[in-house]
Amino acid sequence: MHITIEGLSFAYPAGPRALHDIDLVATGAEVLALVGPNGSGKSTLLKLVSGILRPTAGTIHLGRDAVGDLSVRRLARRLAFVSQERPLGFDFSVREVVAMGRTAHRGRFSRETEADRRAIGEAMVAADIERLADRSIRAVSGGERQRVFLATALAQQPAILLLDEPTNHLDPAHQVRFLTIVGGSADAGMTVVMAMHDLTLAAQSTTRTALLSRGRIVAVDRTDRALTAEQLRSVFGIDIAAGTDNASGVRYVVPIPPALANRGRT
Amino acid sequence: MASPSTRRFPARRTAVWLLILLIPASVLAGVVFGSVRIPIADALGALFGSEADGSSAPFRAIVTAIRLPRILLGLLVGTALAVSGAAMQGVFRNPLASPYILGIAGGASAGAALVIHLAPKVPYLLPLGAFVGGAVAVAIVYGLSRGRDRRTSIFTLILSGVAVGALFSAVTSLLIFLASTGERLSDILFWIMGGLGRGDWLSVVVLAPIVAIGTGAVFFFARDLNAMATGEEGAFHLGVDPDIVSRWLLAITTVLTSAAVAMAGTIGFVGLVIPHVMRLIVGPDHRVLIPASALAGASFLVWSDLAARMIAAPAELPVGVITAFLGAPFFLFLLKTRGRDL
Repeated sequence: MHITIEGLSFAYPAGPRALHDIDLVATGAEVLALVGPNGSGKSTLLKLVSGILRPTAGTIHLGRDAVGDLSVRRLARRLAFVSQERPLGFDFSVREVVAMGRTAHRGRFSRETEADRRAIGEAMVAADIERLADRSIRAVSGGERQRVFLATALAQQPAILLLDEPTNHLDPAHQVRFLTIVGGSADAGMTVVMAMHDLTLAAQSTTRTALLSRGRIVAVDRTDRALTAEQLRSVFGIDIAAGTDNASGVRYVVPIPPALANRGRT
Repeated sequence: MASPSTRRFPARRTAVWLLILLIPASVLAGVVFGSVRIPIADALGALFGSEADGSSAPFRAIVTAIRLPRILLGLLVGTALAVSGAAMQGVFRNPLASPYILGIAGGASAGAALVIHLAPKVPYLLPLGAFVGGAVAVAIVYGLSRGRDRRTSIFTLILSGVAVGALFSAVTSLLIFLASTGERLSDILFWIMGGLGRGDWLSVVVLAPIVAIGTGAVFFFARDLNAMATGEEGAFHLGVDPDIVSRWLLAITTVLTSAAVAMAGTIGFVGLVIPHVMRLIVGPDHRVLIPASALAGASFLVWSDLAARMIAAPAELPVGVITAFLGAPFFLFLLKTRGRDL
């Protein structure tokens, strides 16, 4: 399903404008990265697309419908959101948390249908958390917990998946595993938009990248063309080394400490 | 249905059945014991027999005129407080929330104290004053914490609840200080500590539909409360509008709690501890937690009232003293043993 953003501007109440005149389209079967410095508007953009915030100007369509025209329930059938970290008030089991992903698909008092059980089961397989089903959500590690919330989002069977720096607290192995699952969902046709800080991970796991700076989109391009040293220097204000590891063919994009950067120049 | 919760909380089903069976047992115990011990046969006769079968008339009078309405009031008030507590803990995602978190206790006490002070002889005015006081307190708290964007921050709600509750408590303290007669003073104090001693058939008849509808209404939102455990934005993304859910639940619990408090004073700890204990036994799923809390709260208050009547007989302790003596140590025990996982 397409996300179509046109002329989008947003200001927080009594705050300066956070987003200026954004135009952006995301389509199915791609992973679009939102990359930019802190405060560049990545999270705000995701919150607008997900309906948590309402635009000051401009429109956002999911498929044919404007976000604001969809009820909370219909929105949740179409779009799922994985945030950096989510509080969990009580001692629910992992499976109960994943089953919450079916909330918008089920009747208020209805029992789980075969379709519900299948969606929950498939999501848990995809996120590789089946063996945790009966564990308390409080008794799993940070990496497992984040996969549980990914499974909850997948159990929603959304056409659109938004992720806000989902791998921030994960170790490298878990980061890669997590993003592999996300990539699999995109391969299956989902539209995935993900705000990221780790440029190397963005380079490896996304197909397109939108660079944001001070509430504006500076560039949208194929990830390998967007995450170049020149573009990134203009956005982040420091030097960046981008290249490809000869042995594995993996792309890396890493910041260069200013002291070293100066030495390189002279 | 082998849901994971029944695996993690194996006693869930048994516990619910025991709680259901505990209700008639509690009623019977409440009828039998008291300043006058009534034989079980006579108690059953008074409860179920016809007038004609000659079970002793004095016992019958005690049961139907005094003990039964008092017990039924206990069941209703216990249900109302425990269900409100479960709902508030769910809305605030905080197991330390109680039905009184938004200042109902302070507001209702002030309302009752004002009535006792100004118009102690007007019939029915006391519960009405308490109800209005509680509702007014919540209305002020809610109004204060509504931001310019017309959204309500839960953090501000809690803080305003504490502040408004303290303000109303000051009003109550002032009225206690000004109380001109010992009778008024003890009226106010008894009311603050809470008790079922005013229980009569009228209060039962008034409270029963409120508690029935209120409990049903809270249960209606059980699934939404589960989603709310993932936070306000989390609930939104799951398809549950957190603003609508919390607004309705605040309104429903305000009516439930204010009505209970109007009849029985501000009985503490039932609404705090019962949902808590039930969560440990049946798990956090509100679809089970709410009915379980309703049943447990009902029985707990009847047994507490029984203890209040028996311990210092013929004198009667305020039931709030009993619930606090049972609830507070237990709560501290939970805090100590389960720590931050509470």
